[in-house]
Amino acid sequence: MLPGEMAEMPEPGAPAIELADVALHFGPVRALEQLTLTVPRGIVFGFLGPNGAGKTSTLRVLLGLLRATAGTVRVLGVDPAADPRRVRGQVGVLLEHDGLYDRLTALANLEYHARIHHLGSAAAPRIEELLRACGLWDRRRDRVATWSKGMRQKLAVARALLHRPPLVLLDEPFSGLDPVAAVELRDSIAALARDGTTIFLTTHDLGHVEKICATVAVLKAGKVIALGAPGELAATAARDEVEIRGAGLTEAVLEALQRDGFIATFALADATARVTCAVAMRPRLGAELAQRGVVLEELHTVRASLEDAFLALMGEAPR
Amino acid sequence: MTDAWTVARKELGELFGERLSRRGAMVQAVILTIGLGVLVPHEAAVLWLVGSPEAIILFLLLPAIVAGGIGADAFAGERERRTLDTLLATPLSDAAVVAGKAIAAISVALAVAAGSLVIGAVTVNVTAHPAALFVPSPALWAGGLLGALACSCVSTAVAIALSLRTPVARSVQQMVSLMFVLPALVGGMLARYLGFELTWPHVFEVEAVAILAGLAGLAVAAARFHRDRLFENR
Repeated sequence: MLPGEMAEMPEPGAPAIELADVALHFGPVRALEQLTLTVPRGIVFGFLGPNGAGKTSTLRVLLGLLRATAGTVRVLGVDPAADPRRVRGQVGVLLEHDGLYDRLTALANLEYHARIHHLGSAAAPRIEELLRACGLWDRRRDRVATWSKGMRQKLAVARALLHRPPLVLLDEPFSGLDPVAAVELRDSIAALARDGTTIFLTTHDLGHVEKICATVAVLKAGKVIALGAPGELAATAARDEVEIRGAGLTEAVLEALQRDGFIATFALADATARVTCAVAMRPRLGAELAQRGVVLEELHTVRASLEDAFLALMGEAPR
Repeated sequence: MTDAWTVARKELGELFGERLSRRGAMVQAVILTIGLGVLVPHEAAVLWLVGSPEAIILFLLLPAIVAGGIGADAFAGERERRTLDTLLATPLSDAAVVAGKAIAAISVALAVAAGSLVIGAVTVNVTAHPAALFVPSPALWAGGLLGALACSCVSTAVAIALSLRTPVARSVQQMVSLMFVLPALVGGMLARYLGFELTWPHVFEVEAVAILAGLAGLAVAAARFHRDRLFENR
């Protein structure tokens, strides 16, 4: 790649990421096992899993920092083990730690990475564009050691986008951010995907995942155990809970329903009850309540969330 | 080479280029340069005036410690500051990363040595009152600068190699300082005891060998640079 030229897309038609039967072993430790997934271009892909599931190891395989023990890995159509520098030149990265040089200013941090990517004369306008977009332009001559976590994270994201990469890997980008900063970052990530950038996102923050990810994969012990849209995964964890609100709803009524086998458990607070009710019993529940003198205002099935699905997949009860 | 210079510029920027850190680093460099350039020539003015190779002994040792200190920070420091993973994820080649860090360390050591030689010449003129203006001999200049280059190459290579595997930069700095100070003290005492007379040809021969050894050491350090063994929380 010549200085000043933007990176050329290695294989324009190829998916952003393709992993087929990938295994990664460290001696007896099996960090990844039969990991297969395809990430199409231009979406936000959520890569979820508990600590130690293999998410960071997967990122390292994608960056060519680790060589897979078995299987096929393609990033933008390129094998990162065979040509790691080409892959790293095409990918923007924000890893677990922001990786900013505390003793340098924000400007110097970005200029360093602009030189690494040979941006040449395109560097200065691009840096200004990103710093202005992040609201950091006025602080560009500050040493980043003096910055808040939120400001640092924004700068690290700007650094990842500096060379206009078609694929951005973000490892726990919401970690340590306050809610406002997290929502701003989430919106920025969604905007990037709308502009055609592929985002591969690992996070524990399932609320953000539900809002921006087109597809998620759930990793457990190095294996993908669920893959699909967040809504589809949530639907698999449909809860048996029904929420009821109405006049005349008392503990006695609920105990009677429990005795008669319509509901299994219940919790009543502020004239609203949350009951566990089998799907087969739900059509009769309204009539039974009415018969017992309850004037119903609301009766609906509690919608399962991605968190419910995630907990179910991890073998934990929903909370 | 462009990439190596990119890394070296960043390293030098961290050392000197940015406000508060610049002040701290500059104070260190000034103390060292004045110590080496004023105190030592003042105490050993005769050696300077007669052009003895012994005049440059400390010009070999201190730049080596300076370069070793900076080289120690190369990877252990990045690891401590949690910037190493991001560095490893860049498209920089392994050789460029190691070479850039070595260039930064050696260039600071050479700058300290050159500055000290100039200040040393001024000091000798001011404090020893020579009959005519004293200008150090070409041998003293060449011996001092080549010696600084040789010793800083060796200490940088050792420091970078240790820095690859050691989690704390300060440990590496201490190890490198000991590795240079102890042999220098013992060697000096032994040479004096045995009545060994140091001549410029000896000095240049040793310096040439040390430069080659330093470059070989840097090549070994670059060969030991494996990204898959370096990142945090493997």
